[in-house]
Amino acid sequence: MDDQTATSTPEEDATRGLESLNLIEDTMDKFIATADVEKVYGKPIENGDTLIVPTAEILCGMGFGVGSGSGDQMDEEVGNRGEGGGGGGGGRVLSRPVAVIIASPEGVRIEPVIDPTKIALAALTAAGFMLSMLFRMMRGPHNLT
Amino acid sequence: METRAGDPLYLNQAKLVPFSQMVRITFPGGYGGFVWNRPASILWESAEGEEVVIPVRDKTRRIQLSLFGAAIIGSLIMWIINRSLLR
Repeated sequence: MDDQTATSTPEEDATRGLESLNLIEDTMDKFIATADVEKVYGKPIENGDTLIVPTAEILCGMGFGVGSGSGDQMDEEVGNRGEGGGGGGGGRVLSRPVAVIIASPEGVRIEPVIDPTKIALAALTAAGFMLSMLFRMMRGPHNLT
Repeated sequence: METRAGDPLYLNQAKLVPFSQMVRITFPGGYGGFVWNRPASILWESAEGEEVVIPVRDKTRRIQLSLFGAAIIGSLIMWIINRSLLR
């Protein structure tokens, strides 16, 4: 059995830490970039004299955490001491088309993009809520005694 | 909430400036956050120099909110009617 343990030097630890910080910084930069106007208004499409610009709503959320810790010095002679660290994170970007801008030499107009699935789900939720309220009322007051 | 203007787009002599509305919440310590970005309006400047601001309306969201509002108001009305009938 090889008694060599997989230990790292403080320099290697520092390099790894710096790489992690750079990764977090890059992720945060990408996250902040979702706030740009260019992300909401798509690339314009030219069709003759007409210019078509798609628009979308963007919702972005992310979070991450890092932590490290070390154990107490158990044996003063050996100097055995445990150390550890870690991190993790996650995020999600949601995008939904809102409208299409159509510009022509005659003028500009905005055509909305309607999502029938979302509307149907909202209608079902609303109907379910109203029906549950109706059934509760029809059952009458609860006799708690 | 912050309103931002984008790069103008040109069509012949006319100009179109897009605007977006953004809400950004950053967690304390900078460990993440939340961004909500949506189209707000466009400024249309015609070749004659006439300026028009056209809002970008989210019809799907409006319909959704109307349905939820109608459900709450409908339930309240039912509750009021039921209560008056029980008395």
